[in-house]
Amino acid sequence: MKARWVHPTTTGGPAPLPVHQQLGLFYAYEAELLDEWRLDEWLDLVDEGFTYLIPVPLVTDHHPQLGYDPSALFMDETRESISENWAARLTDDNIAVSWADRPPVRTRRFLSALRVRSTDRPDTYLARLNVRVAMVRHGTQSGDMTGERFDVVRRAGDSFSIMSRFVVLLDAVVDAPRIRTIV
Amino acid sequence: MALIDTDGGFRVSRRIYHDPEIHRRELDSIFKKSWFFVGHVSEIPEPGDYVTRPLGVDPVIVNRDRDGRVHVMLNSCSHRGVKLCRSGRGNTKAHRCSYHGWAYGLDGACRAVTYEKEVYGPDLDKSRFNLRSARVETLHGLIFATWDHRGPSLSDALGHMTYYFDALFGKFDNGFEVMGSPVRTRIRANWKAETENLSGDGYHTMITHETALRFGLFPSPEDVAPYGDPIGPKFPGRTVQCGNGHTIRIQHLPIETHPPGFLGYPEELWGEIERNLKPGQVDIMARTSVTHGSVFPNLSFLENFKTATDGPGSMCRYTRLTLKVPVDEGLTEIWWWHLVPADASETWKERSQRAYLRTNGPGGMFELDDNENFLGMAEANSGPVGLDQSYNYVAGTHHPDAHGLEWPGHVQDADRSEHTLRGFLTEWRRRMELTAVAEPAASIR
Repeated sequence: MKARWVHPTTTGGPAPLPVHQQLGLFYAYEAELLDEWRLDEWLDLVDEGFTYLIPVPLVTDHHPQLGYDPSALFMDETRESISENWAARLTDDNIAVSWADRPPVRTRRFLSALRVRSTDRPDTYLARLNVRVAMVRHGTQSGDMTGERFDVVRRAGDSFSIMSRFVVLLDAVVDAPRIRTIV
Repeated sequence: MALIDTDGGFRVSRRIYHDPEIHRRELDSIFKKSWFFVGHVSEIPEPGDYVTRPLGVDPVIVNRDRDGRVHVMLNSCSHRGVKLCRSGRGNTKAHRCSYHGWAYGLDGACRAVTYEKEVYGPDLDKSRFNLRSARVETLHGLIFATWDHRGPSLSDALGHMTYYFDALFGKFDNGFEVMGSPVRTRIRANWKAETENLSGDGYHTMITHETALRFGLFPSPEDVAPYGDPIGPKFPGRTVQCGNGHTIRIQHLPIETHPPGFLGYPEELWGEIERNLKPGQVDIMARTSVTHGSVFPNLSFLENFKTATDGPGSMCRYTRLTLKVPVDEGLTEIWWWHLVPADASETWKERSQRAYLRTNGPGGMFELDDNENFLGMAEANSGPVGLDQSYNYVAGTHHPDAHGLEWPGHVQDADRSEHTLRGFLTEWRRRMELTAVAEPAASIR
């Protein structure tokens, strides 16, 4: 089957330590917004052309293990679709009938092993980090989504802007209380 | 009360969804004997290609042999039962066990036993140790298999559903293909909860999916008015009991199109749709808003229409198959396939995938809110009092039958109804060998 979607790569070397430190803080504050379901504010952290892709997890015999099927997506969103179809559910006008968001699934993002590499574009980096989104639905049903983020980010003033996010999930069977999540 | 009580209504004991003992009976009565969908031929195009799947609830290998034939066999070594294929997908010449090295051909025949003469002597009949094979048939590229080698053929088992499958999956010259591997998810709910919903529950849509309505994910009469002659504000819908527990709901856009308009599909493929289908099937597929239904016991299909996938005017259509595989009475693994016409352009296929993933995909908005209902059914009925209650399925019993249609089966002229759910549950009861049948076979024309 045709390989349509693969994780971004770069031949660039590791970015300077201050970039690692600044981006590490950026991701910590990003996680706070996501864990608190402040999606409107989170949208300010991503580019207009932001894409959010998760390929279908797949186990094969190959070494090294790609871990996903590059011919199939599990999530395909943009800044616009997240704004219109995710964030809009949480407004005062819509929350009463956004059944799955009331009460909201509680989440905590655990981030580790941040590696930032330069790319062939100035002030643009490929950031890889491991993510576990621990979730609890209605205070009792727990689960998680664990994987690796491949973010392309660019400097934006004193901060960063996320241009794209590609997440490779660890589990072949996605068993989480809320699948529709920014990992 | 009986598990399904039709005296004066259609009441169903909540135990059939939440009682582990009843689930154990289902495994024998239903999941060892039915025809089950296991994959699509486009997933294994080359000799030696294989995928691993459930057949009922047992793990199987689905592979294509050197002659192009598809085989389905238990993914378990005949010697000590070790799982043979550990990957989701691959290509191989044979299946070899990691324990003692027994090897099997792509037809499931036992080909090699390690140190055969030393360990077993000169007269071992290896054919006694072939893998347990299933009976296999395909229909429009969909691969079905059953453990029951003596039961009805796939065609007989599908009965009237074949007519609707021809309309859904037989309309293109070169058929459908999968958009990659299926997604697998799990939900803490009984397998029947979503299956009966997808059998044709048009009653929940306006409530559960109100945000989707507000956000314009459903087409409005105004959205589609430019593409035909408006017939009013109501989306006409029908529901069909096809017999044997198979069902379908067909809802049309509130327009007429002359000639038939297959809105959302690439226009260059419209001619072959009309050519490949009978008039009654064209009537199903033209100006369709949504069609969905279930093949008993656990396969559901859905073809849906989205008006603005990539902005206004970018109509698209997507076809989804879901298989609900019980892990236990309260936990279900769901397999999700997205199908596209093989001859559509890459651009169209990717648009179809976006439309699907954001709406009826495993992380789509529809599924998000649907799941709340299925989870809620499980969460609210685990106690002894809850288990003693019943669910009622009488919605739409007064709806009129449809007349003047070519469509086979028991067709009702409404889709805010539980007509199809009753069809599914009636077959469930028959298969579980309960006594009286709610809607006798004679009434399923």
